Amino acid sequence: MIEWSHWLPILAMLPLVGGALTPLLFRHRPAAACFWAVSVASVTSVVAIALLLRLVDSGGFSYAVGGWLPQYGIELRMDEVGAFAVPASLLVLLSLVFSRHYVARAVDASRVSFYYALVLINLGGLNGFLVTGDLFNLFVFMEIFSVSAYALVATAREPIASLAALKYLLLGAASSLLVLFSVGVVFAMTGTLNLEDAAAALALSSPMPAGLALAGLATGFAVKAALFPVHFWLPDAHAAAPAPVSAVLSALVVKAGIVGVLRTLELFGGAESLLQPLLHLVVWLGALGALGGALMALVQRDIKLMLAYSTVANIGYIFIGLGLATASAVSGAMVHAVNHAVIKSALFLAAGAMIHRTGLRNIDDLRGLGRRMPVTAFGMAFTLIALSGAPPMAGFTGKWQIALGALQAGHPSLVAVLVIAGIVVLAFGIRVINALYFRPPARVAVASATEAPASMWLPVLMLTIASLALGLAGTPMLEFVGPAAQSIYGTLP
Amino acid sequence: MNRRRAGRILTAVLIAALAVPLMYGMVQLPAPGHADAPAHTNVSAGYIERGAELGGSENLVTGVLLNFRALDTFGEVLVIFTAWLAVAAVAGTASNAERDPVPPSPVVDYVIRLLGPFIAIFALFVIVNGHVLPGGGFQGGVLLGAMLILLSLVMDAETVARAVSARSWIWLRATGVLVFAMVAVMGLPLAGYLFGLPDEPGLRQVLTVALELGIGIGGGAVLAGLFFAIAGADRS
Repeated sequence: MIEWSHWLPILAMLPLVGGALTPLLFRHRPAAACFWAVSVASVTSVVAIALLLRLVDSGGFSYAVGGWLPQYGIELRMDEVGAFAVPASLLVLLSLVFSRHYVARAVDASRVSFYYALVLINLGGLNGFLVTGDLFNLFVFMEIFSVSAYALVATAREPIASLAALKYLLLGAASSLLVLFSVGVVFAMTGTLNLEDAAAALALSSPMPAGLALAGLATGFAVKAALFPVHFWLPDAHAAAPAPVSAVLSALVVKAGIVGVLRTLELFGGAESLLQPLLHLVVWLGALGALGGALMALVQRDIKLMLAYSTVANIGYIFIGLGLATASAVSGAMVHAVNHAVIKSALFLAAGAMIHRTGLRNIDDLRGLGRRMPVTAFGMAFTLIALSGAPPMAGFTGKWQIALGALQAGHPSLVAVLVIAGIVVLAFGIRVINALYFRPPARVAVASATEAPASMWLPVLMLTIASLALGLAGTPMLEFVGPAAQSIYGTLP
Repeated sequence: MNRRRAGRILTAVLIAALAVPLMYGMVQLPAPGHADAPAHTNVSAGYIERGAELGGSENLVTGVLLNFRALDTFGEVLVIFTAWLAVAAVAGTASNAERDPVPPSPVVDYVIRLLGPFIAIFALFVIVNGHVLPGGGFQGGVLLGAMLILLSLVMDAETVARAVSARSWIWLRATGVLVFAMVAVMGLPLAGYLFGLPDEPGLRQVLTVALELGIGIGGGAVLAGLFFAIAGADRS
């Protein structure tokens, strides 16, 4: 019987090694590569769920990699933020199942095994990033999920994909450099890389070099999270990538940026005079992102671009919540990060299934598809309404809590921003639903389309059900993240 | 033309505006090399005091890389492998290399062929002595990769790429990841923790050298692979 905590590094190691093995074993057997990737992701999901149960059962725990004391070695730890590894592993699993038929058409046969390898490595990087308690280790895992994400965008056949990937790569590399630089500054100031140790030392240090490190870390992670105004790499990259990759990027990889920001807040929790102006700024940037993203989504004709801009809007909501720094707003933001991940991956996968069957990605061209692809269209319609924040679905919990937090913090104007953005989201949702169900087909490809294979509609359906179930489970989720929100910020009003 | 100029001026102003707070912050940092700086007194002091004894390698850097912070190094090895995966997944599969019409001068050709074996031996030396002397897997791997690239310049990349079958190349490139993962898992029975190295000096030395070899071979093969992919000589 292996002791419990050993599973913590395995959570990251399993998909990483499984990913590295994929091209070695299955280079010329795409179907086997898919089966292998799905198996590895399934086992990883089981490990993640087991760790979550352990966390719920007996609180957070940590692992000393190599048996070294936290300061000298690397500490991994499972906490409420690290529990995001569960939705991460499950969503990657569903995207991999979806990939089976999708990738066969969207990616060159000779590169399919590379595709699956990169998706698994991406998951390993995410999981490691989520559970590490060490600053430099955070950077290493960030590089793993970033480098694999750049490449995954470029695996799509569309000509714009390489350009979008290049844009993503350049901005991502610059932001990684900022993070690395700031880690260096923190080490020079404190002489340690352990998050907890460094946080204790930074609380006592002088404001100036600390402010520099804070600004560098916050900016670096904000680029990864696509906070307005450093979001402009996102729409092209998420729209051009193969649909299952779009789902993983929009649902998980940008959320890793949010987790990075949470870890930064944890690191500087003791330096309140530095944090206050940053949080203030983040609220208003988030509000601009929420409004701007929603409006930009409204005017898109390409369905995947529309979804990508809506991600910018939702990242805006989450940052509003983090910046307001009240108990309800922060836990609302953390829950919304999970709920948006589920909703947005359902939407991207449904859009992918439609594109796979019809070859069309313009909303106007897709009209009348509701009768032809009933399950996929239902999933898309349902999750679009969930996205707008209608109760009792998953989009509601977070937005409601963030709005409550805005009132508590004395910013009623932010409630107006949330309501307006919600209405705009509903407007483009209704536009798509109207096209799918209430207008006759205008394209032969639509009129002759049939429902996508089960490997595509099943993940969409499961995510659709999850987007209702998570909405109903709002209270337990808020209670789960509540203590983490308190401990990250110190004390919250 | 004017817009371009305005853009350049704006860029310069922005860079200057960013540079001022950065430099101001950097000046406030403890002076580098100052004996009282936290960077030297905190964790580093512990490494220097007992690192060689506990970590098992006289080269403290290697001790930190392969033992104390092994997970980071595993991550870096994986990033290197992922970089190759990324290039292989994106680069054109067709052999689109434009052959250089002018062969290198006979002097260059002769010198590179003459140096090849010596570079290889030096690389091996740097790799297997990484735990006692400056060097190690990463450095030796770069030397190996550089040797392969140099040879490709005089012999034609495709000839060098064909020296090993496409299937073996992939395994070679993954050597670092696979060896590291194996040693990490062996840490569980041998040291009680994943990524732990055993306390028994002989066994620890063997595993350290195995790690260095894996990193070196994997790194060299990835570097050569990146070159082959860009030169269009990659058939994988």
